[in-house]
Amino acid sequence: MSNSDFETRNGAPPSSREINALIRISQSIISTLDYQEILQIISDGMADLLGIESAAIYILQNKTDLYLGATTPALDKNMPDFLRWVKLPEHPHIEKTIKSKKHHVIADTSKTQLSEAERAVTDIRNLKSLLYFPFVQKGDVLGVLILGTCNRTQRFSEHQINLGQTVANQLAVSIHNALLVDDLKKHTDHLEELVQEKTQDLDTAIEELMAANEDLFEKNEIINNQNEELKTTLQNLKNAQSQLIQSEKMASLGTLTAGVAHEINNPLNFLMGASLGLENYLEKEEHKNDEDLKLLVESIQTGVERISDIVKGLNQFSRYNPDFDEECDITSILENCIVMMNNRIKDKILVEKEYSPGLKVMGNVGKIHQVFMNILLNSVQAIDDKGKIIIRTFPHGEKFAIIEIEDTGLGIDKNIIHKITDPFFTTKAPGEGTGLGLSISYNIIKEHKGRLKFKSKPGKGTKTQIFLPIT
Amino acid sequence: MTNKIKVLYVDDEHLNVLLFEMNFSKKFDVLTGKNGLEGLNLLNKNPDIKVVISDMRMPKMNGLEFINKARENFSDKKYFILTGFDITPEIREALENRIILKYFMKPFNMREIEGAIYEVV
Ligand SMILES: Nc1ncnc2c1ncn2[C@@H]1O[C@H](COP(=O)(O)OP(=O)(O)O)[C@@H](O)[C@H]1O
Ligand SMILES: [Mg+2]
Repeated sequence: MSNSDFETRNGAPPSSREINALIRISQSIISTLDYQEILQIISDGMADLLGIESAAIYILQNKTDLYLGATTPALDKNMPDFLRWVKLPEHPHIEKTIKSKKHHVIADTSKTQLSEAERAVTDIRNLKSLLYFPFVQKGDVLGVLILGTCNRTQRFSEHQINLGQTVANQLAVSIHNALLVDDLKKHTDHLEELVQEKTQDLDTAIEELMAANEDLFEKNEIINNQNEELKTTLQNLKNAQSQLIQSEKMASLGTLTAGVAHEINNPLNFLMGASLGLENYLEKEEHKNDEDLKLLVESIQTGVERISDIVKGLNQFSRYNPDFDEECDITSILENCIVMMNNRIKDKILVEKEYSPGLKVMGNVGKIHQVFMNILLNSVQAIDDKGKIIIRTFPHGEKFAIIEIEDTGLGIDKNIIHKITDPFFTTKAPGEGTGLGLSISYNIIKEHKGRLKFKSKPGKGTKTQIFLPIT
Repeated sequence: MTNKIKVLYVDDEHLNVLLFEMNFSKKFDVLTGKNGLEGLNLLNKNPDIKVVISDMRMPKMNGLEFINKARENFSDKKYFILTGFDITPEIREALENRIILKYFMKPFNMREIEGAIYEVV
């Protein structure tokens, strides 16, 4: 603000008191952005500048409302906001100032017509002469400054009026800016409020989401657990099924072999009886030295005995016995297995035996027989054309007997070797394999508190090791 | 007749009966029947029978059923089973209750049977 701005049109230069007052106003205004504070500075400043003890600033809002922004002397800070609002039509002198956009003078309130509201205001401080200035900014009236004398009338000089209007016009810019800032602040506040509101909403949403997530997590966990349970149940079911199939198979095998054994044993009985009869007959004088005939009869008896042993073996190994306290002679069990599998071994497979004589374990003869059968059968099936099976038995320390069955078959792939004891796992065609052999063997060995181990080289062969506790 | 031990052998297989008779009649006085009923009849008619050997599986009345019936009137005789089967729970029970003294497996072993008879009589 330069001095020249305040040069009044009628040529009278401002006094140094007035310049000092103007400087105070401009410096104060620069130091603040607060709308209320600025209005207060203007009110006090204008009263000071024009030497009039009382002042008030009304800001026009929504065209018909007036807001009492500041007064000199200042209003009580605790004055409720709603008391500051008045209606424009209730203040005709202010209305006139705004409409005309020009200053307005009431020389003596007691001789002028005032509205009820106007009268109430002037009565408070016994205001006598009033001077109205509009704050005009780019053609719009922002509000009105009213200056008034208390207890006495005053004739306002032309200088006072011109100076007041000029400064009021200048200050209108400040008021406008302050209003904008205030507006901005309100907007910012509103925005902040909005942001806060949204943040709160978001927080709530996040909370809800988290709760939902937790719920989901829980559900997921439940599902996982159930899944796990299902898996175990399935595995148990498979095991149960395999055991059922096996026990049924064994039961029917038992009945079958028992029946067959009986059928075979009767004709064997004929043969035996007949050969014994023949033997008796040959003891008569005239045949005493016929060695050929004796040999023939002996051959019949050897044959009968051998068949009888096989049948007995069949019976022995398929009969049901739940006990695990039988003495199991490893060699004789293995020998019986080989006899029973002889038709599959005969021409294509060379069987090498390295038995530890008299090696025995405690357990269930039938079940151990079954394990050896399953594992031998796998070796036989693994050999396509011609090959070799080596059977070794030996003690392992004092506690275990090891039965090793090694073949030169096709071997087991690394990818599946961990699965071969699973029930129903098979790489064989239907009719060739059920996938039950090793799972049953594994269970039987477990029942005997033993161990089952596989070592295999695909294309080379497989070594199966059975560890059984001796006692 | 003589002082040979009188043995009753019951089996539904004709050849078994025949061969039993042939092989054992040198040492024992052998009577034979084709089924349980015949066996019971022979027991009634021949109170001097000391030993009864029966096949296990026979139509109508199996070996143990026949022996149980026989024991109602002839509890003092020695009973044996000769069977094509391996031992069964039924036979085991009969052994435990001393209803039969021994069981023999087919094809029979002459010496085993002879030994058992001499042992109990
Ligand atoms: N000695 C072996 N050589 C090659 N593969 C074998 C041998 N033993 C077991 N296997 C593999 O393990 C699988 C499972 O064996 P098993 O449980 O006995 O069932 P199955 O013989 O009915 O298939 C076989 O299908 C085969 O792939
Ligand atoms: Mg198998």
